[in-house]
Order: sequence, then C-alpha cells, then structure tokens
Amino acid sequence: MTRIIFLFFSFSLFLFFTGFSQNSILTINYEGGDVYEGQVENGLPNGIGKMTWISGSSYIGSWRDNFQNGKGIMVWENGDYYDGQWLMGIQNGKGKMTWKSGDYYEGKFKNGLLDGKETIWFEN
Amino acid sequence: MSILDTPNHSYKDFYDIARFRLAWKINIFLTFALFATSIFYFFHNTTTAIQYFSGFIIAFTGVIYLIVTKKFKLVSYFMVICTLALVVSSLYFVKNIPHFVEPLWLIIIAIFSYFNLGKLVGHIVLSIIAFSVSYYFYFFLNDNDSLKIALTNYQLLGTIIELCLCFFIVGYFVYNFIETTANAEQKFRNANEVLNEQNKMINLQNEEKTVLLQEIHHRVKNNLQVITSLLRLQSAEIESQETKTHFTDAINRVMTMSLIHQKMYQSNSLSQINVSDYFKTLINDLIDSSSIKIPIEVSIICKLEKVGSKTIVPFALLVSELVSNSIKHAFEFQGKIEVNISSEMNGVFELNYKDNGLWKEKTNPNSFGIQLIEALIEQLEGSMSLQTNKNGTEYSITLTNLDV
Repeated sequence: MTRIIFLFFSFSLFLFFTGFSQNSILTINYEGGDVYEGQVENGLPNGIGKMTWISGSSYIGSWRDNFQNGKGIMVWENGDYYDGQWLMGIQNGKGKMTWKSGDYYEGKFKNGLLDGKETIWFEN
Repeated sequence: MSILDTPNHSYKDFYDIARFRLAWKINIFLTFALFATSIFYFFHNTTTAIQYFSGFIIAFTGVIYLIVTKKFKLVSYFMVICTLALVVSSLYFVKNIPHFVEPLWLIIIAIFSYFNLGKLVGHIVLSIIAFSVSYYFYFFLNDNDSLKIALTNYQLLGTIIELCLCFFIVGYFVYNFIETTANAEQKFRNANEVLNEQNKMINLQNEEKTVLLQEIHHRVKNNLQVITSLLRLQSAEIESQETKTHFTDAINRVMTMSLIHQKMYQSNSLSQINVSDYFKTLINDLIDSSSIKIPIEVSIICKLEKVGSKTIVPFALLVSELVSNSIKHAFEFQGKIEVNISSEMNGVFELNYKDNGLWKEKTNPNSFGIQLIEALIEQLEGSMSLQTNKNGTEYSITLTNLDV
C-alpha cells in the first residue's frame, strides 16, 4: 500500500512539473463522472495522466489515444492493482498483479491475462 | 501441531511451497519407515539393516536441516546424492540378495529430482540411473546366486514391505504433483477470469470516450459542410466570375478540412489519418466539385502511411491548393495529375506534384493561392522548387515537420 501511495505521489509531482513546462496538462470531466487529469492530444488522453472512473477504479501512467499504453498502475475499485506494461488498454509485457487477498503474480502478461510461463507468486 | 505439519518458511512461490512441503513430508516419512525397516532386518540380515539404517540417518539429517535452515534445495541435493549412492552401492556390493526393490527406489529418486530440483537435474539423475542399472545388469546379474535359489520367508516378507513402501512413495509423489498442478491451474483460471472481467469494464469505458470524440468529429464535419453549402448558395447569386472563383477556392479549403474530420471519425485512430486514402478522396472531390469538363487522370503514389492530426491540416491544404491550381489554370484537353509522397528519409519527406498542363495565363507570384502555398510550406518547415516546361509543371517540395 505504501508503494502505491509513493508511486501516486511521484506521478502527481511529475504531472505537476511537466504541466508547468509543457503547459499541456488538462482536466477532462466526462459526462458519466469519470475524470482525467494529464496530458491531452487530439482531445484524447495522450502522454502521462491519471484517469479516475466513477466506479472508483483509477489508472495513472502512460496513455495513447485514450488507451493505457506503456507503463502504468491500475487500481480497481475492489483493491486489486496492476503495476506494469500496457498495450492499447490491456496488460501486455512484464508486470505485477496484486489481489486484495494478498496473493500476487509477477511475470509476463499476454493480451490482458497472466501468461504463466514465468514466475508465479502467491502469498498465502 | 502434527509432526507432518510443514515448519514455517520464507517461500512465497506456489511451486516452491509445494517443493518444501514434499521435502519435509518425505523426510519425515522415511525417517520413521526406514528406522522401522532397519529394526526388522536387524534380527535377520545385518548388511541390509545397516543399509536401511544409513537411509534413516540421511532422512533424519534432512529433517534437522529443514528445521534449522528452512531451505529445501540443499536438502534435496543431499538426499538425491546420498540415496543414489546408497542404492547403487547396494546393487553392486551386496551380493546374493535379490535386488527387486532397488529399481523402484531409483525411480523414486528420479521423480523426486524432477519435482524438487528441476528438469536439468532430473535428466542428469535419470542418465546416471540408466547407466548404473545397465552396468549392473551386464556385469553383475549373472553372478547373483540368490536368483538361482528359493527365497526364505523373511526375505519374501522384507521384499514385500520394501515394495509396498516404494509404491506408497511413488503414489504420494504422483498425487502431490497432480494436486500442486491442479491448484496452480485453478488459481490461474480464477485470476484470469477476474482480470478478464475487470479489463472488459475498463475497455468499455475507454471505448465510450472514443465514440464520444468520434461524435464530436462528426458534428464538426457536419458544421463545415453546412458552411460549404451556405457558401455555394451564396456564390450562385454572384455574377462576377472573379468573386465566384474566390468563393470556389474558399469552399475547397473548407471541404479539405471537413474531409479530415470525416476520415478521423471513420478510421480506428483518432489521431492519425491514412494519407493515401485521404488524398485519393480529396482529389476526386476537388475534381468532381469543379466545373471542368475534360477528363483528368490521377495517379497517387504514397509511401507515407499516416500523418498525425497536428500537421495534416496544412499538409492537406497544400495538396488541395496545388490540385485546385491545376484544375483552374493548367488543363486544356486531357489532364494528368501525379502525386508522389515519399516515406521519411533522415527526417525529410518529399512531395512531388506534377501536372501535364500549360498555364493559360501568367502566374502571379502575389496571388493568394501562391502565398498560401508558401505559408503552408513554411509552417511544415520545408522548401519548394518549381519547374515549368512544355510537358507541364512540377513542384518538388521537401517537408521536415510532419508528425507521422
């Protein structure tokens, strides 16, 4: 939990300073209640930013054309979180998925699913 | 707390936990089983009793080591090496007893190696076993007199006990392997099902936002088309040919931008446009909307796949101006337009535009069209050279500021 808070804090600082230097930080309040704060291009989240969905889930990290792309942290409303690589809205590459139960998996993800060919870690 | 309960350890990997548990339970089981068997043999055959007692010492050392260090790997290596040496030495050096059970013990060692120490160690152990057994069969089996005489009751009973022991351990290994794999697979399946559902929700929300932006592009395109229609209606009432031409130029420019928005919402990407497809539609629309009656052949060779929305507007307006100029001033009988766009080379893009027409009137370098072309090239950080001869006009334009 401390790690998430620290990463959120670091990203927030990054957004704050890049905002001054690039003057491209915007806040978009979507109709349904979702909020995006970060870099925007072509009216879509592009660059570094944080999206908070009305459901309570949030993502902070790299965006491309409104999809999580690159490195980022996703925290779901139930407390599960993923820290790792994304490719157009789905987990692809190396990452760590931690479930609220304390179990966690660290390794490769393919098309949004645990690939299972590398290390699997479960706490309990 | 039962003696079979695994002691506390620091392993977190699912399979490592299973390996530690297996090492612990096997060592505990062998400690008791081998001690009891060595007692049984002590009263009938001292050599065999010593062998079993050695096995008991190995297993007991393993138990102590696991309690102290809480590491399974070194214990597993120790067990594999010691038991392998013990069983093979029994095969070779203990004469005149039937070695029915030794092959089973060797199979157990091989399975244990594969499970606890991995594929490579498993292969090595299996190779050693195969060599040792083959060697025994070839050089020692015929010298074993016990095969030629009947076994005593205690020998038969001892063999049965050993066989049962081995079958039990093999069964336990197989059960342990199946249970561990099944648990891991079940955890994987559950985790993936949950993750899949979570991803579906987020992607649905992402797509909703994309659709929203597509809708905005659609509305912008519709508004620009309304402007185009209003300009057309107004130009129909104008009598001056020169003013009408200015209106047509303005309509073409608005149409060029309107087409960008149309292509944006029709494509999968909202930040890039397929250049070839866009210019084909644009040039055909410009020809169709002009009042020119002669046929115009259009050839587009585009090696540039996509251009981003930052620079597509000036790039499109540039091509639109060139095409409009050709339509207005160049052709008399048969028109031909060639557009050649190269891919990036050292950060430079080349646009080669050629028509086969002859200018009906002299080019005015101060005309708005020419000034606009120069301004657009400047915006795209490029340069232009123009060649006119009896075969037509050729623009060679280099651009350095295209976001591709």
